[in-house]
Amino acid sequence: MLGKLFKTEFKASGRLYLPLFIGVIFFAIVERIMLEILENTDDSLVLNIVFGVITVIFVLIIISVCVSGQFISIYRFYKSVFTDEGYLTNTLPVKSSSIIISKLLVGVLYTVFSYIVLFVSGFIMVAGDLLINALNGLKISYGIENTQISLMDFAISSIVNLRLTLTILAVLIIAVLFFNILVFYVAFAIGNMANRKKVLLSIIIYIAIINVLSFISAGVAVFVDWLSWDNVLRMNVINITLAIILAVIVVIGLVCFFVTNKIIKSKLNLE
Amino acid sequence: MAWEIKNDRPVYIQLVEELEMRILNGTYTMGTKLLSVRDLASEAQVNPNTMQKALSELEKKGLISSRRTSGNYITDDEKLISDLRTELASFEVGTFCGKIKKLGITKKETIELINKEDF
Amino acid sequence: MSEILKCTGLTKKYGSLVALNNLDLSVNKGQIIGLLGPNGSGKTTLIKLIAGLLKQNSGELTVNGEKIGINTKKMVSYLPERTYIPDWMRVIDIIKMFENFYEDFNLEKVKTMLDNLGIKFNQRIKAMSKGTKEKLQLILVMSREAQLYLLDEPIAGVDPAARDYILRTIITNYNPEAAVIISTHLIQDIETVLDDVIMIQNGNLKIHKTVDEIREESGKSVDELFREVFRC
Repeated sequence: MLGKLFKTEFKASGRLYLPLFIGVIFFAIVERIMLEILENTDDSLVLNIVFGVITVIFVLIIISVCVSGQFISIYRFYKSVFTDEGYLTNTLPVKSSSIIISKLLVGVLYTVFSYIVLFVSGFIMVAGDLLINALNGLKISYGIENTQISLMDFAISSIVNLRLTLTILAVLIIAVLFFNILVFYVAFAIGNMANRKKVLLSIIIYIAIINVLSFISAGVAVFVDWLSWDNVLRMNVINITLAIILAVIVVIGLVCFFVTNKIIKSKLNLE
Repeated sequence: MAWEIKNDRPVYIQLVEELEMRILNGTYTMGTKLLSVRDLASEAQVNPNTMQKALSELEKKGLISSRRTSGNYITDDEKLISDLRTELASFEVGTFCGKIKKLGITKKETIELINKEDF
Repeated sequence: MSEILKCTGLTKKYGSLVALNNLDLSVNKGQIIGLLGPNGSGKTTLIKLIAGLLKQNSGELTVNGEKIGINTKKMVSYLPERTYIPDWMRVIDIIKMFENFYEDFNLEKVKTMLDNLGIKFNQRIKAMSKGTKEKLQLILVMSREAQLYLLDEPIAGVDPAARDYILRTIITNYNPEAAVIISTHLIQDIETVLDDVIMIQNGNLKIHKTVDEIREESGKSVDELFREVFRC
């Protein structure tokens, strides 16, 4: 059933993401064409204005894609579980946890897709001659060989095990993707238990949770700072910091998941 | 054909009366197959179980017979139908005559009145 | 076992408000039941509990002998008061969804019923009138070969033609192996369709009798009795 839920949600969300993705790619191509035209023609006020307008639209779409990754996932979750659609969703013969997991996975997947789309659109902008020019420019102005060397130096000197660090970092990035969405889910689940102004309340709860979390991360920072007095630990300080952050995120993420599940299972408050 | 279910009496009794009337007056032809319980219930907008109960009642009276696989059939027993018709008619006439008597109208006058009626 | 639904001591509270109070109830297969009561009497709460949208505070609730959960959701076909079909869908999308998730969904049945109403598979939900949406939802719910149908206020606020359509749909889909529970406060319109009447008030069971029992005993229609019992 998880598979069916996933498929259903994948399609339902895709309907919202796809136009944005297409928009980004489309405007990236238009921008690129404009750039080529500008490069090969004399200065023209009209062309410059058109280019400016398109650039503004492009930037707006890029911003909306950046934000939409999570926003659409949260909107889909709220809409299909806690509004009238909840009468359909919550009476399907499936576990409530499957509903949450399917929506969560789809949300993370589309967030990743949106980053890929942004990357591709960036590539379209600078591909070909422009890319070479851009790299040359980078080389000239910052001296890329030097940067590489100093980066390696830094890596060797301060990170004992680079591979481990990168692994933890990769896991951490994925965990954060899940975590961000889960915090919203739990906020909306708690907000749903109120009888009025559910959405407003959910947002307030979200902000409250985020604030509590920043306290916790401040606590982690102090703890790491205290750890690094120890010489051996200091060598590994980045790995340990990342590992602690990862652990905290996983634990809090799981708590969010179970609380959300519990509320949907037995405290559902549909109008 | 409209089914009229009144409020004051059990539904199934009213269904028995209506079905009986339809068989006796020939709306449902002798020896033919009756609609299914579900279709009858749907037509009359009543509960299928209640319709079934009414049909069982008619079966007891011998007005319909159920054949296990093919549904309910109206009886082809002409004598039974005409007997029941007479019985029902004489009951109605009896009630009518009782009321007329109370008014102090004679039999002769009554027959004259009936002859004037157009039916 | 002919018992499809059983409640013993079923209690549901919302904070300090008692919505259902120690309710004992049993419904058999093959019955069409009217769940009657004034607004706020606990009708919808009972239906939501059976549908698995809410959890009771205490007491037992079983469908076909099983506690409420995934297995009972497979057996229960529920029509809520709200229209729940996502706006962006076409008719075909929601049909596919039902087909995907409900093993007992009968595609042929849905096709016939939609055909009769002239609803097309590629029609958009967004473009439908409220009445058409409600009919589509009823068709979807009745197209499942479920064991227990829960219809919450199916005839509230519909015109007489639509009401007749709904009642006809319920009767023609009657299955002796399944039970139908219809909650309503418009008794007059549906009482001839019912076997049993369950009246609840303030979360308490008031009356559980057959329609003809009520008529025989009181010489009144269920509607008239209801008005008497719940007189303000």
